[in-house]
Amino acid sequence: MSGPTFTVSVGIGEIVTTRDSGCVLTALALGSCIALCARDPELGVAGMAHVLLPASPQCHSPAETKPAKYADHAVPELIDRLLHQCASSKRLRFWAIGGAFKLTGMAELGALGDRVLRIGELNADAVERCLVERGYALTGRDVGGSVARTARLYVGSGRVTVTTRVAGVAQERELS
Amino acid sequence: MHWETRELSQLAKVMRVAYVRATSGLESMLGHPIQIDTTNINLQIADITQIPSLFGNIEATVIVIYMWFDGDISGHTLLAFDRDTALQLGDALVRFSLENVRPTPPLVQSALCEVGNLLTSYFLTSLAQQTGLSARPSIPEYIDDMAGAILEIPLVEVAQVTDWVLLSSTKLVGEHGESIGQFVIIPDPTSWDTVRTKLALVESPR
Repeated sequence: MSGPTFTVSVGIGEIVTTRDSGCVLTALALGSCIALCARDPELGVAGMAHVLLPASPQCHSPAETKPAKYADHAVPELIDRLLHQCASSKRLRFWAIGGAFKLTGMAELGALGDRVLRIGELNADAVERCLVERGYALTGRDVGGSVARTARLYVGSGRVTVTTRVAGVAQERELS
Repeated sequence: MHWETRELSQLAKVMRVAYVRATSGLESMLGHPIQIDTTNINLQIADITQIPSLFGNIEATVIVIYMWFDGDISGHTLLAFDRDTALQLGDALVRFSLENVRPTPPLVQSALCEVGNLLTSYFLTSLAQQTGLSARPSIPEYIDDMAGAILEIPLVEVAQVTDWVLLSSTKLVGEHGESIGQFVIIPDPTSWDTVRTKLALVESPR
């Protein structure tokens, strides 16, 4: 069954959770960022975190305005918000999308290479590690590569889709 | 991040000189009417979350010539075009430079990279002449993808230091003054402190 839908764009560093079945949580144009999607299929409560960096510096305060800026804050915060909305920890399912490597031709740049080129990979690893630390595993993932992605989580149906653009042409596929 | 109006005004003057130099250098090398709109130097203090929308629609496909620079100051330059404009411009540049040569996609990409390379190199050279701060540009990288994802490259660098960034964005105009692209410079946050210190010394010599 599908009714009218509306899109909520989840910006960098943001976490959005909802039980509105018409809502489509969307993270646009992910490069090295990760969209972590989560949903309790029985209750229909779902959420998305738009993660920018893998690990917060020691001096960083978690009370900052961007709760999903770092994976090590984003993952527990997303889970806690969903549990607060009565999601069951046993039923929660997770999908990770993004973590691309954008500068394919500049691998010879030593310093930049160390800091930036591997950020996508580090983000993907950090998100998965933080989930494992809380006792969860990913149901599906579409990470790595060198292509930008848009992630969508249809709260009502639980569909998770990934859109890419090759030579300007959009291609959408479903993540199972 | 706090900048005095006086400091921003001084910085804008330095940037304008560098943009003018970059424009004239580009024209002399390519012989093609591409100019930076130096009438409006846009210096913007932005939250890092605003960076992905610098080129407008985050999800729109754009062609960007990305370069990184390092030295006394470091940062990123991005020359952005919408796809159709980029391919038309690249085609025209190849035809202008290489008579009787068919503009194949690699040649078009190479021509666009050269535009980014020239703009960035002339800009940094002028900046160095005015401030004494040197920076070496990387090779140009041609990227054809969603705008927001490309802009994550400098965003990731900046976000590791701060949530605020001072950046410069200018329009690129064609033969008839029409907007054909955008040139964005995002120095690493610590580099601005270096520039600011240097400009203060230039303004108030002992």
